[in-house]
Amino acid sequence: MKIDADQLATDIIAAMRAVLTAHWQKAAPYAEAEAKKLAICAAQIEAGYAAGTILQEEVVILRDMQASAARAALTSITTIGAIAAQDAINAALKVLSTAVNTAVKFPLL
Amino acid sequence: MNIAPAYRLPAKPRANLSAGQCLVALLILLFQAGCSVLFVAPYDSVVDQSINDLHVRTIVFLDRMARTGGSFAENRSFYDEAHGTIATIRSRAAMLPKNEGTLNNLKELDDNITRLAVLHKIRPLTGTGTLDPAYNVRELIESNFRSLTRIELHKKLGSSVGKSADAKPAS
Repeated sequence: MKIDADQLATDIIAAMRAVLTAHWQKAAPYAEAEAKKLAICAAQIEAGYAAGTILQEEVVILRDMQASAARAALTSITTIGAIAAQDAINAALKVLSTAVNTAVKFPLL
Repeated sequence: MNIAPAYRLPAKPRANLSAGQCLVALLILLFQAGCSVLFVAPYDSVVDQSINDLHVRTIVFLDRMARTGGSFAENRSFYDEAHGTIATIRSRAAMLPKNEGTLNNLKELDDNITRLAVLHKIRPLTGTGTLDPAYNVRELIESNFRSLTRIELHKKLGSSVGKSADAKPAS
């Protein structure tokens, strides 16, 4: 059985796109929610300082904590992106192996 | 003087491959290299469960501090245990290759626990209003834990995160 490379490529891209889209649909709301929460927190810290409920030495520490939380959120998004790429490539490899093994009629890949 | 070449090299055959054929060729190479790729460490249930346990202990501690107004000196053991727990989880996570995301976020959490202790030394972690330091500290520590948990969830569930609590995609 002959393999149609263009059709196989279309199937592989479809498999990759499905995985990448699914990852992004889960990661995007998290990224947006985390950005909003950190922004609200920053505003509250400044407002608390202005109102006198948060001391100056506390503001410095809270800002450092905020920077750390923001870095962690960005690391999380980056790592999710790497997981998405990994899953997409592995999904493509699965489509390829199925097509090749079907064509040669034995488990070559 | 006209120097003619003694011989002419045969023209190189040009491969006229489409983008799709190039993709298939690339994937075949990848397959021969090891059948699958790994960009991020695989899921480790011990790391995930340990992070979750520390999350619970930390939130219980912050709730108790908000209610009782306990001093740093009275509650120093929490900080010692939290740092020890994070060091243990980092040690376990470091055994897996390509686990930088989890390791970096554990370091950020550890640093924020240290900053929490500094705040606690200034005064008790009381106050539940949005303009109180204790309220905002809790939000920021929660953010650290969410970042860690989000990575572990994607490692475990892949693209099916949020679809089902126990679904595991083919990998």
